[in-house]
Amino acid sequence: MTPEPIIHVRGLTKVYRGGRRAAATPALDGLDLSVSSGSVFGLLGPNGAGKTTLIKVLLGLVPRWKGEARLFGRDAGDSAARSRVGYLPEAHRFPTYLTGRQVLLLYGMLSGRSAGWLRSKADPWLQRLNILDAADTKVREYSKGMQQRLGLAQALIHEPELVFLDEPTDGVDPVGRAVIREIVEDLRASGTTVFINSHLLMEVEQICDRVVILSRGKLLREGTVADLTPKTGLVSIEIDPVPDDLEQILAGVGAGLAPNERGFVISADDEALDEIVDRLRAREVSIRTISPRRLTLEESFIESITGEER
Amino acid sequence: MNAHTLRALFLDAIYQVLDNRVFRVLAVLILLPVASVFCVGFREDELVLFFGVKAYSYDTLVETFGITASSIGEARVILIENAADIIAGFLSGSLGMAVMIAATAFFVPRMLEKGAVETLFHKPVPRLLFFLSRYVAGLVFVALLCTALVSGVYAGFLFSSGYSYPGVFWELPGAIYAFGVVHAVSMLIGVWSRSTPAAILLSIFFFVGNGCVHTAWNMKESLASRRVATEDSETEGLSQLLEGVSFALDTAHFVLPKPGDADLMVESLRGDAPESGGGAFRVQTNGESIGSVGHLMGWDAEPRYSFVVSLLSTLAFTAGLLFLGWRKLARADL
Repeated sequence: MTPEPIIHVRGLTKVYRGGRRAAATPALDGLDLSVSSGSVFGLLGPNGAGKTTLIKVLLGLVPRWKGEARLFGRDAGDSAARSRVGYLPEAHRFPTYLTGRQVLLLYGMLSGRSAGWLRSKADPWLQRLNILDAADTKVREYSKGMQQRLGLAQALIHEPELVFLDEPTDGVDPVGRAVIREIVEDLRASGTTVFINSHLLMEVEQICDRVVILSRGKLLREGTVADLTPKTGLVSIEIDPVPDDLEQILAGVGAGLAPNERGFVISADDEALDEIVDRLRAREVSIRTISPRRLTLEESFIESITGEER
Repeated sequence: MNAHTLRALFLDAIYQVLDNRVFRVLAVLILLPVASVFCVGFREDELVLFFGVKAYSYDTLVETFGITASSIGEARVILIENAADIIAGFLSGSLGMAVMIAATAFFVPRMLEKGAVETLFHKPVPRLLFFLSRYVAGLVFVALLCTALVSGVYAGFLFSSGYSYPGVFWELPGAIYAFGVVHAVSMLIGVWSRSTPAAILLSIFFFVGNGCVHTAWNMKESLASRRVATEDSETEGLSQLLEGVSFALDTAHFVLPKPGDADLMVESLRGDAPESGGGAFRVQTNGESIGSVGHLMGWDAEPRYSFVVSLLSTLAFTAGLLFLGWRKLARADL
C-alpha cells in the first residue's frame, strides 16, 4: 500500500485581494503537488512564483483559498498537523525581549513540548549552532547570522517530521552554512522531510534529493536533482601537459573540441571517449580528470523559467 | 494545544512586560510617592516628617488648610485616606491611563510585524489565544504597577502613621477595569492598523471622547434632576433639537463603556458615601455640585443609574471590541 503523502495539494488557488485600485494577484493558480515523506526538497521559483504562499496555506497562515490542501492527511492549517511541522520563515523576527534560550523554550512549548523536555534539548542545539555563549543574551543583541541560527534551532527543537526552511543560510557565514548543511543531512538520515526554499541554487543542488520548480503559481517541473541536471554530452578533460597539436591528435574523434588552459571540453560518447584516452596516452599525455558535464541546476532552472515565459 | 502552550503564552506576557522600558521607568517613578508616604507620618497627636525630624500639630494644619472635621482624629483619618486614594488612584486617572496606553499599545502591532507574525502564528495555537495573550499582557502590566503602588502606599501609611487603610486596595480592580476597556480599544486599532502610533493616538482620542460623552450626560442628568427638584417650569418644553441631543447623549452613554464609573463602584463597595466621590465631573456653584449624578448611582438604583447596567454595558462593549479584533485577525492573510 502506498503511504499517504504528507503534503497533498490539488487545484490550489490563492488570490490576494489588491487595494481599492490594485488588481487582485493570483499567487497560486491551480497548483497540483504531492509529496511523500523522507526526502530533502528544493522549492524553487522566481520571485512571486507562490513558494511562500504555498507554505503559508499549508500552515494556516493564509485563509480563503480554493482547491484541496492537506498536510499529514489533515486539512491545511489543522493544529494537530501543524504541531508536526517546523518552520523557519524568511527574514523572521523573534521578540527582542526574549533571550535565545527563552525563544527555544517558549516557541517549543507553543508546539506542545514540555519545558523540561525542551531544556534538555536547548543547549545541545545552541552548542551545535555555535550560539551557546549567547544563550542568555537578549535577541536584540544578536547579529543577523546568530538570529538565523536561532531560527533554525527554533524550527527543529520540537523534533518535527516536516520542516520548511525559507532561505536558511541567509546571512550565515561559510562555516555556519556548512553546519546547516550537516544538520539537513542528519534530518534526511533520520527520515525527516525537509523543504528548502533558497535562491542559492548551488546549495540546493548540493543538499536536495528532489526539486520542485514553481512559476506563476503553477508546478513547472518536479524531479530528482539528477533528472533536472541531465548530462549535456560534453566531457571536460584535464591533461598535463596540454600539447600544442591537440587538434591534430584528436582529429576525427568527438565534436566541438574547445581547448582551455588545463585541457579541453569535447562532445563525445563512450566509444569516442575511449579513443580520446588511447590517443592521449599514446602521446604520453597524463590524464588528470575526466568529467562528464551536466546541466547545472541553475542552468536547468533558468531554461525552465524562460521556456515557460516563451 | 495543551497546558504547555498556555504556560508559554503566559510566560511570554510576563517577559514582555518585565522587559518594557516604560514599565521599568514607571516602576521607579512609583517609588517616589511610595517613599514620600513613608516619610510623612500622620500620628495620633501630630504630623511628623522624615521620621520625626519635623513635627506639626493638627491644630495648625486645620487652621491653615481649613479642613472641616469634627475632631482631630477624624481630620487625621480624612487626610490619610484622601492622600492614599489620590496617590493610589494616579494610574487610573487620565494621565496614568495615557501613559499606560502608550506603554502597551505596541503589543499587537509588533506581534503582527512581517517576520514576527509568521514565526509565531504557524505554531499550533488558535489566533484567538495569541490575541488574548496580548490583552492579558496589558492587564498584567497595569496590575503589577498598581499592586506595587497600592501596596507601597498601604505599607507606608501603616509604617509611618500606624494607620491601616485596606480600602486603598480597591483602587487596584478599579484601575484594571478602567484600563481593560481602553486596552481593548488599543488592541482593536492595533489589529486593524498594525501601527503603534495609530493605536496610541486613537485610543487616547477614544478615552478623551468617551469621557466627554459621559461628562455631558452627567451634566444633563444633573440639570434634569435639579429641574425636577425645583419644579423649574421655565426649562420645561425642551426644543426638538435639544431633545434630539438628549436622545443622542443617552444612546451614546448607554452604548459606550463607562470606565469612569469604576471610582463610584469602588467607593460603594468599600462603604464610602457615593456623594463624597463626586463622579467623573463636578462643577461647583455656590458650593453645590451640579455636574454629577454620582449620588444617584448605586447597585440597587433604577436602571438609568444602576452600577449593574454600567458594569454589564461596559463589559459587553469591551468584549465586542475584542471580538472584532479577533475576527479581523482570524481572517487576515499573514
